[in-house]
Amino acid sequence: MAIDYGWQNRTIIGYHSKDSNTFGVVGKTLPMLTKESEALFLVTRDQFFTISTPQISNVLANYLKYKKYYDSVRLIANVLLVPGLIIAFGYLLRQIGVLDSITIVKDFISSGIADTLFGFSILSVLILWHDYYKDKSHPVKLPKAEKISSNDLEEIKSTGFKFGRYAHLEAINYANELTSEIICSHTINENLNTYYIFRELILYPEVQEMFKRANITIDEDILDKNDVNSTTLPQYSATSIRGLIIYALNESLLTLSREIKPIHLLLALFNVFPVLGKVLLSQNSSIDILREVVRYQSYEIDRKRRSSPFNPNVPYYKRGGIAEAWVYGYTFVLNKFSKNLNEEVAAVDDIFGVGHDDEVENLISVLGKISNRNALLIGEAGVGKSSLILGIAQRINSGDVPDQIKDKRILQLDINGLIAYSSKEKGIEELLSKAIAELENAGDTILYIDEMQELVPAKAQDSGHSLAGILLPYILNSKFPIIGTVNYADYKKYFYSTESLKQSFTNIEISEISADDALQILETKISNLEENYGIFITFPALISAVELAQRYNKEKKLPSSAVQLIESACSWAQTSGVQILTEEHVSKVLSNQKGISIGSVNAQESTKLMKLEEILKERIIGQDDAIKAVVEALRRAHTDIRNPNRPIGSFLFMGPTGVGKTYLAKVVSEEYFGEESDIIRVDMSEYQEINSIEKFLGQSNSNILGQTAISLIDRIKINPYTVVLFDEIEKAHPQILDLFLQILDEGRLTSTFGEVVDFTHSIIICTSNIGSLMLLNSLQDPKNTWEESKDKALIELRQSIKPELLNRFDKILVFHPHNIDNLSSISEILLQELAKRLREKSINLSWNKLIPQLIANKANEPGLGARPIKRYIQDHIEGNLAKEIIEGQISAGEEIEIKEDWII
Amino acid sequence: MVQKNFLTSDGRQQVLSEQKVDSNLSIVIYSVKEFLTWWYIRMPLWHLRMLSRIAILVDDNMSLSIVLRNFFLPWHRDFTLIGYVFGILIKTIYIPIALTTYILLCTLYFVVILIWLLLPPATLFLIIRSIISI
Repeated sequence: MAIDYGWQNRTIIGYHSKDSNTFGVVGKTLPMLTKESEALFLVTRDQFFTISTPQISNVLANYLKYKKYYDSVRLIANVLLVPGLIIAFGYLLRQIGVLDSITIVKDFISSGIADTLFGFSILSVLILWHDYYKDKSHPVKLPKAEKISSNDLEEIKSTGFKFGRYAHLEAINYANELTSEIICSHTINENLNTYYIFRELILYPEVQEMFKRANITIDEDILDKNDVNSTTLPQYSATSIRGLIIYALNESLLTLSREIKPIHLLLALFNVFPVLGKVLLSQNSSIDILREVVRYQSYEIDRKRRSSPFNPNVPYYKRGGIAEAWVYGYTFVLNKFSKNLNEEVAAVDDIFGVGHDDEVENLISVLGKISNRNALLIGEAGVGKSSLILGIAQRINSGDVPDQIKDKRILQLDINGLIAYSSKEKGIEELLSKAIAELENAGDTILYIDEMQELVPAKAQDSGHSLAGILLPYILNSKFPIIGTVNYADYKKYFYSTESLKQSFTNIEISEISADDALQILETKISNLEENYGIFITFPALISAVELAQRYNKEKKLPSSAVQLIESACSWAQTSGVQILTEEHVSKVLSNQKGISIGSVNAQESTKLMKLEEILKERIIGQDDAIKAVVEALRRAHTDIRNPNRPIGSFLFMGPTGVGKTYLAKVVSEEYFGEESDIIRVDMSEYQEINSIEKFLGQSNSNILGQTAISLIDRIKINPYTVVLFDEIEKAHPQILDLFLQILDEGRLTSTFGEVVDFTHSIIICTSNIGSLMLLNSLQDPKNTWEESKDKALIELRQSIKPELLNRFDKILVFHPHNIDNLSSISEILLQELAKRLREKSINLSWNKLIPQLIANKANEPGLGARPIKRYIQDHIEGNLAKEIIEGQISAGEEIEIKEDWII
Repeated sequence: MVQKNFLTSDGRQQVLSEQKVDSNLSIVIYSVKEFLTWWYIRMPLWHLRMLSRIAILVDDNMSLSIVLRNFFLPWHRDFTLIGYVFGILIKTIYIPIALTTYILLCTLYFVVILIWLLLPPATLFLIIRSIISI
């Protein structure tokens, strides 16, 4: 699933043409409008921004004039500072009596001239103070562009823009000084020079940082190679500045910036000019990645500003001070086996609870109730349950919570610590009772129990009661809020059946976060990771970590899977001496972890895939259609064109016995997944009874610890990158065949224990002997053509297996029965394999070209395929060779020829 | 997508606050006006916000309002006689100290604001007086 960068539906750029009196929406191509009668505007959910020609030209002209004036004033003020400083020093010396001996200086310092100069220098200080602080004290602030609702979009589409409902803002007001400076300096003789703007912008440090973060290089070679010059980035009349400002404004809104900065001008240029778009494309990048980087840069700037409490321009949230603890009760006993999460989050510079805004609000509202304030967070491992709790602690710390939970602290119960402490000191029951009493008295504590199901098996040593049983009465009547976390399977096992427990908690389901939120979480970890590992992390690496984790680590959830992958990649980079972590490194780390090739197809793999069809045809005789279908599926898989939510390929092989159905599956597994990969072979004749479904999905009623049988699910979990061969599927029970509907359609299967197993990296091959007799008839009976026999076999197949299952296979392939020529070729292949084995013993085997034909004629048993050939060679050729080796007639280094009398 | 304009009935393009190119005199007058507006309106408001921020910061760090609100709550919620007595005693000693710090810091900043307001006229006064005395 590609990451949705979240740009959609936050801004609309429209244009107006005075000549034709029409309004429209600008599509993907952004025009640089030069006619005065045409203008652009930008609409967000609550505002619309415009800029007119007289406005822009007057503003820019005024900007230059004012700039000149302010520069002069600044220069004069700076000059006047110097005598002021000297005179101030003189005043000081006069006061301490040093100047008494230097009368001239003393007289001057005491004169009106010195006082006047000093007065002017103070005035200069005031002017310079104003000059420096006027923007800092009252910074320009762009409004936040929220998503435009689909209703509004529909309304705009059908009835047009209703400007009256939006607040009108002037775009040019949001350009900062640097941006205005750049535009003015490159507007010469009423012409805007976009090429020189571009050349200047790419040298800015902020822009260089952006390129580095996006892992792209913009230098002379790249620009020449992509024809970036003053022809492809041409001059426009100054009226086009309006368009450039609107596009730059769009970029600053989308990247959550406070003003239009030079970097937004650059993003606008990348967006407008196709030649610059190609520069990005040639380096596997895009405008979306650049925007993501700039958004991250804005976030970093904001984060640093937020950390200063003395800035009245940012909100301040009360944290509670030195005397706060006086109004709350002691928790001496509880402190020994718990940790204070508020203190923990205050000590780290991280953001928690990203992507779970709704769940956080939900949890806060539960905690803020008067009664029944307990909450149970239910979700799979790694979705961020613990992070959500830390997010609440962070919000409590910053005071961004309702009054009911303000000043509260969250204590996480350490179950193992409790058991360890109780074994040294008093019994658990006594300890828990004291801790609960402290909690009730404290008035400020929320108890958090992670993995609540661990309470059930944990037992008190003295009484043998489980902790859950001891805590239950307190949970049912709790005077303080309790938050617990549990996964779905354990919730069903321990909570669902206990009505009182179920009623005591408000359930909040925590689902896996989106790829975009996972990316945001990784962004918050960048500075930490870079500091710890001493490397530089590019954004493509982060994006790759999220996408690959989502695709290849389906047993773990986002964000945990992506975080673990990026940390593994950072660790690998550190040990390998890599300074800059890119997406290739992340792919490589995951490839090493999974034992498969991940990432873009390289030259070696391309050659392998191109030759795969040839290689398979050399090893499997007479089944070219089947080979072609399978190889096409593999090529699609390897270039990422296929649907990632289904198996790599799913095939049904039909045909008589011994024609190569199973052999093709084995050869594909060997050639595609590598020799180490084991094909998973399932004989469906073992699944004729419905209770054999446990062999598929795992045994439901046995103790997990005592379970020794490995189900199919287990085998796929161990190695999901393989060929799964289901032999003779017509023999399986129909309800078991129904499981295939989910495997083939969605690439997954849910085990008895609720685990979802991923089949999307497997090739599923089913074989069937249905219609074999009819297919053999085509060989034996000249009246039946191959096509007729094939059609009859397929009809019989449709009658035996449900159409909804047959419909889900990528291809149903009918294997040809072998004729004599095929069998002869197969004999040749088998003899080659025998020769190879003998070469390992330094014995050279040879034969004349009639031998394979002779073997085929002799060994052929109609209807049994190639197996009789194999048995024949085993009995007659290998048997005779073995006899001669044992008798000493053949020894190492000798050559032996297959004799015809071995066959005849 | 072509739409009609609902802003003006004849579809005219909105011409926004059209500025003209200012003369040098206008620039000087504007800069003086802008300086005075910043110094005497915008910055005092900023200072008041800063004063409010300092008040909140001091109150937050010294937990003054929390302690005042919970004056009669016993020490660490120990609902015994000792808890009550100790709590009131400590708070009785603490509150004046915290309050004094609070008032002192706020007053100091208030003085800063006054100095701020007086600085430009005082400077002008110094200049005029010293010119007269030459």
